[in-house]
Amino acid sequence: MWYDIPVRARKALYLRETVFSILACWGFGCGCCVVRPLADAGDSRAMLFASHRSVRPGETFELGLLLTVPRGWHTYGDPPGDAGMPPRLTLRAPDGFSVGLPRLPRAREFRDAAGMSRGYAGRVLFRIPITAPPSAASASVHPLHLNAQWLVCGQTCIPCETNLTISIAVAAERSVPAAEWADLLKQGQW
Amino acid sequence: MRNVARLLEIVAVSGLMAASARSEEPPALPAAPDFAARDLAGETRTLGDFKGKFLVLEWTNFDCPFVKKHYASGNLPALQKTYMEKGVAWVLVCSSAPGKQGHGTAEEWRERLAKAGCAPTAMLLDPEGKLGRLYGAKTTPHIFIVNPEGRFVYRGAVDDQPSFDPATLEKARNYVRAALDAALAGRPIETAETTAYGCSVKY
Repeated sequence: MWYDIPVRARKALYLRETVFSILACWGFGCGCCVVRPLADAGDSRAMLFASHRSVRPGETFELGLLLTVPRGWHTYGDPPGDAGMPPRLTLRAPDGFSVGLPRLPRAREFRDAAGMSRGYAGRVLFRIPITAPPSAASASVHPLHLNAQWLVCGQTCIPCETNLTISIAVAAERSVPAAEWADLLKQGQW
Repeated sequence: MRNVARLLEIVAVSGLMAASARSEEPPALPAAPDFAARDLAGETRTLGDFKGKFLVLEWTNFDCPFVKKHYASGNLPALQKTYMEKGVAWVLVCSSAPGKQGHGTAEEWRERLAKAGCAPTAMLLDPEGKLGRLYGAKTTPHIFIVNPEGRFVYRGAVDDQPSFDPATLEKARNYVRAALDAALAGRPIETAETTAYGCSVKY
């Protein structure tokens, strides 16, 4: 795991991972990757993926926001328990796309002196169902913009926010699922 | 008890009119526990010191993003000022343990308050977490409003927007403002309890 590495080495690795992620985005249809520094623990990072490379008009697919939380820290579920904040995901899609409610995996409990919280450590995938417009033109590409706000807490709490964009292709002739989706679900506590 | 009250009502309707008022009495408000904690001058303050006034106890930690939302925007300092001018006592409490986020000495707190443009009636330092645990403070911010008779009239969040994003203040429904407006006008408080949101208190 990258977050097992001491702080000094982490910076170099972070650079390498960023470059890798950007390259990976070229070939595999993930969104892009943004890193938000935590005061004393490294980074909590967010990457945006789609369940499909390409969908048919009217087909339902999913976007997946993969959050990584450094060791010893956690982010929150919904409801978050005695403290914290559930993730706030705001999706902006072109006209005709319909966006469903985000789905979160089952949260675990974190206890501290003030009470009990519910959330996630390590990696977690939040899923947003989306339906492409039935009237979408074939061979069209549509940008989807996600604003994500999440809170990461350990001994302190750090607010994280990022804007990510991913494009989905609509093609009348065939639907193409993303090969890495099943692995993402497993990584993201599904 | 509810069945008894209903029975009384039925009896009242059938002729004994005097009994009907009984079922309409509001439930007794929970009493706020007495406390003793030191303020920034090192003086011991108790609940009794504030008797006869509405008292707002606000748990805080200036390094917490949710507290920052309410302070960087000036939201809570403005609320404090408005209601202190109407005779409300507004007391900040910090229950962060030494070494934990938000902890500060009296001197440090004086500086932080001055910088935030915040001048509460008093600020209580509770590094052992006694007052926090006594009141069940779970988050920063967490608000407790006590009436002049020493009973809780509101416990919970500042508003209905559990977010650290200052943009949410605009559409927020401020529970504390609503509770104090109602209390000061002698009206019943519509929302007397909400789930507080924020960072956990760093006991």
